[in-house]
Amino acid sequence: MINEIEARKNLYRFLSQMYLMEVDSSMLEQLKKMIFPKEVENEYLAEGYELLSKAVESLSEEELDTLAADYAKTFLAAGDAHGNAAFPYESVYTGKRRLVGQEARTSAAKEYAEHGLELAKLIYKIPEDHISVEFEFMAYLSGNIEAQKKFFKEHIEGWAAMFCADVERTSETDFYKGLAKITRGFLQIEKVFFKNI
Amino acid sequence: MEKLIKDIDIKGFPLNYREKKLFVKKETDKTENDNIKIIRTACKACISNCGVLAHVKDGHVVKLEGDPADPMSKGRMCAKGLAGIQALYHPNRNKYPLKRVGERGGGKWKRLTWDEALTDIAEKLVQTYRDHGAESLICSTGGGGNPEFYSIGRFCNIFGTPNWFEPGCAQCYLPRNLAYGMMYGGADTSIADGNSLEIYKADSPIKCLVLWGTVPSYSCPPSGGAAVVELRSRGVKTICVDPRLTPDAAKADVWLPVRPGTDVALMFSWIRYIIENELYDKDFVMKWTNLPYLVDLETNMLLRAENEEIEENSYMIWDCRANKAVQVDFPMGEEVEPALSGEYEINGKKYKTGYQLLWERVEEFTLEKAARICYVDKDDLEKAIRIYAENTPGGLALGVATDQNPNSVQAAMAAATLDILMGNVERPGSLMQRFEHSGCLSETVVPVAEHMLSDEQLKKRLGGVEYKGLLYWLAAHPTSILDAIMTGKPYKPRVWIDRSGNKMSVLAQPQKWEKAIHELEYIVHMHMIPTSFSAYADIILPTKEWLETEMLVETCNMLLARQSAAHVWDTIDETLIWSMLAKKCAELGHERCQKSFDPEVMGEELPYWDTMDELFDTWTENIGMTWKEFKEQAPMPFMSEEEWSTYYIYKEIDEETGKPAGFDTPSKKLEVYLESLIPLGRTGEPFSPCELPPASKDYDPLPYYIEPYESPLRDDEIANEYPLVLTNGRIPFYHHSTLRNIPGLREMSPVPELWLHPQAAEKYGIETDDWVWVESPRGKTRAKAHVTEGINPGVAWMERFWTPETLQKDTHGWKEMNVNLLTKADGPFNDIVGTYTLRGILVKVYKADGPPEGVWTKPEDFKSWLPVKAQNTDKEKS
Repeated sequence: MINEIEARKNLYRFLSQMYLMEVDSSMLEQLKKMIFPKEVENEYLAEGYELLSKAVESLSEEELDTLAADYAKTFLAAGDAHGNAAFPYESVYTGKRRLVGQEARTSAAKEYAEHGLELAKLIYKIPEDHISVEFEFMAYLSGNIEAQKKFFKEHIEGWAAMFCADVERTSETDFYKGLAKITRGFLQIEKVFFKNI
Repeated sequence: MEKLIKDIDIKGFPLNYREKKLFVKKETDKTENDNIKIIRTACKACISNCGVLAHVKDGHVVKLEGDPADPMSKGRMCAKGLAGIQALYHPNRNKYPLKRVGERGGGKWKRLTWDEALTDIAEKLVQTYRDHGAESLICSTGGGGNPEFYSIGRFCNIFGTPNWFEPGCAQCYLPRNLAYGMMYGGADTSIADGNSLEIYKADSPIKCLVLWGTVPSYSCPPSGGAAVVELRSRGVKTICVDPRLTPDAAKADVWLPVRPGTDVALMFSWIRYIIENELYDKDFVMKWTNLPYLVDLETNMLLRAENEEIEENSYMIWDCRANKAVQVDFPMGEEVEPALSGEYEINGKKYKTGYQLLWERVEEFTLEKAARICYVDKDDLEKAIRIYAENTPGGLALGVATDQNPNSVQAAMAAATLDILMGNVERPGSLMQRFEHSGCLSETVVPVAEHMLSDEQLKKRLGGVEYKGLLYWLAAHPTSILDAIMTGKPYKPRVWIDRSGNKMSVLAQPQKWEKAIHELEYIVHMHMIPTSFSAYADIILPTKEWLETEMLVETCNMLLARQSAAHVWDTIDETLIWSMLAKKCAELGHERCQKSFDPEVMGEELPYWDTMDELFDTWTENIGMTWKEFKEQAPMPFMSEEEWSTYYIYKEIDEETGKPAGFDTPSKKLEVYLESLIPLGRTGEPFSPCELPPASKDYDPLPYYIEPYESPLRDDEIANEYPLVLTNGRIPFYHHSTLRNIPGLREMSPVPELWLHPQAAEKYGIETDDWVWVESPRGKTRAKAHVTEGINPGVAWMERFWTPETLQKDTHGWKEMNVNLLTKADGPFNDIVGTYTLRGILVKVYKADGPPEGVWTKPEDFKSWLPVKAQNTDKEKS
């Protein structure tokens, strides 16, 4: 049986990937092979797994554009000047002016630097306080619970749940609604987990 | 713990799935430091280039302030510039290229990489080129939001289409730029466009400044606006000609609230008064203008001496001493006594002097008549002219207002005529100047590559034969493009690439363009934020904010560097996007684009560049530096202020001829009688590389007045139905269609106002803060009433607007409060450049029930502008 460290790392990596990029056909193939937990206690996780697995099950390659459009609408506010989106940037949630690139970005970047890391050049340029980067960093810190706890408290706890609520509110697909619920449930568990340490 | 694992144990997700890792080892062991680095850059929130100190912490812009080294803005910034941080880090920016998913206008997009997006566009371009010809591509730009105007013209010339346009051009600046360029060969007097540089000189002896249709305190507060304040504090008299009581009008010695669209009639009364009262500079007019030259009344051409090959020596005057027509050598000595006015018969043919014809043109415009036509007080009018004429040196700064109706070029000609009559040219204290340039640039930062457009393609330019003044900017005519899209004649444009803000808010009659859009096969929109126009696009490309871009800027005697202070997402500088697109087309076999990368073909027009540094290095090499080296030193003076502000260029002795250099015109004189408009209209000379077919009629070498097509004086059906004359004009919070998405600015200016005089307000039962409908024969829209004596009773004012908050509704944000639903995209057009009517249309105003649905009207509404923060409603679950 998988240990708790690996399980958490797995889920952080999975969520990081889902928020980072749209689902392409090879990812869809992978997703269809995935098995999500059943008979789960946490309500958000239970609903989330249900929504996501059903969405994945029925998703065909032809519908990937629709899913990509929901990604663009929900996370990029594509083509919209309205604030009605779930911006995956910590700064937007924690900064006074709700802009990107504020103090949260700087402080996240510093945290990575202290661990000898910096953001790689990616297919799509994102700031350091993007949810995918923060989740990936949590995965990277696996095994170093004190560091994980610090980063979770300083960077994730303050905004990620609100972000998830915005995803649920903004997205039009069960895929992303489900993903948001999974994230939210996982974060609740993490919060308790870190509290008990 | 087992329970935890059970809940989160997802299976089957490959940990090595990701092709690229998110993190890499940090190359240096240095952590980001907390020091603030100051980057000396230059703003581009409007067309000015005010010097800015960008405070950057950890690669992030935290504060902006003006750079005191800037000789124009001197450390000041305006609301638009200070909104730079909000604009840069706005979460709703265009971040990555997007491609439409589902039907056009449906608001669904998917993200693409730049390579995917450029391939998509280039494939369509090359296919369209092969199937329908290069001319079926139209491109457009516009003044709002950090554009690089020449990039688009260059790409079009290289691709082979003659059809780029902008909503400005014939409606903004070209008329002045062209008229002053042709009559004088030097700078026009637009303060907002960075001219009238004399006003920035602390020791200028200027005594009077006429602000005609310009409001520097609104259009460019840190530079021109503040300079005018300083001039007034030094005792310089100011006259303000503006339908609105702007801050500059309120502080003026005389405010003339001209009826929109009648400026030429008012200018004619000034010219008439100055001539009649002999207030003009006689010596200057006689020696340095072409007004004494004889004009053939049959051909309207100047009489030329036979067998005289030197152009400037070929003109004829009537010599009063010899009592006959004689040829005069440039400049014109004491050996003749030229007649300034009069009609003469030579070999049975009739001739008049240019001066005589000018007088006949203005003769009917007495003070009384002009006061009546233009809605101004006769005594104020006389006072204004007297102040101007009796306080030389001085100058007339002509703003955008007169560019916005079909009398556009003529207004610029009449304005230039006034300063020329007064001798306000190249003397200390005058606005018409040819101050030195750095020599750093050949002409423009981005060479326009005119030679790449073949004669055959040039002849296909839509509106290009009729409106040959557009050749001056190598542009096409917007309404001719619109007509071609709708009728397929003379051919059908199929693909549209736009790089600007919101075409639906700045083009006249966007309701017509909306129909045209549905006729087009493919639309690309490049901008920093989504606008109404994006809603109709097939591809959206994200461009850089000014804080992300670089540019070489000349400001008075200084060179500034706009330099990148930050970079968010995958935005790219427009100047580079066009180059990337050309490269993609080249890869797909487009031969002309292939050639654009060949240094031998491009020569001084430069082959296309792969980086901006490559382009800038070419220019800074002229001052012996790389762009990188220059950026470290900028801002820097390229010469002393004294060397830069050179007066009396026309008196400098030309080494070759031993004579004064004169002006940069065919006669080397100031051509008040603008004969060269005739060959321009007939063949395109001197701006066309080939002979073009003639326009439907000759262009008139002298300004003329046309009563606006819709006019309260016409007493026709339209005048009876729509009693108010509507104009528009700047407010200090926005530039064109920009920044309507910035909460801080929208709080200050949430909705467009409609200004009405108390008499009109009473008549129509309207009070301040009432919502009103404003309706013209073409459409209706809403605004909030502001009742004020700062406007004539028969006039109303409303500025352009759009509402990003309703972008996803059916209106796409441009149908609610948009003055351009009322303006007039069809004729009559200006004969020379094709200007349509944005100002000086007729409207009626009546009460509305309330504001349009969904638009935000109160400061607190703009909270919802910001990304919505969900409440943290997490129930604590075990």
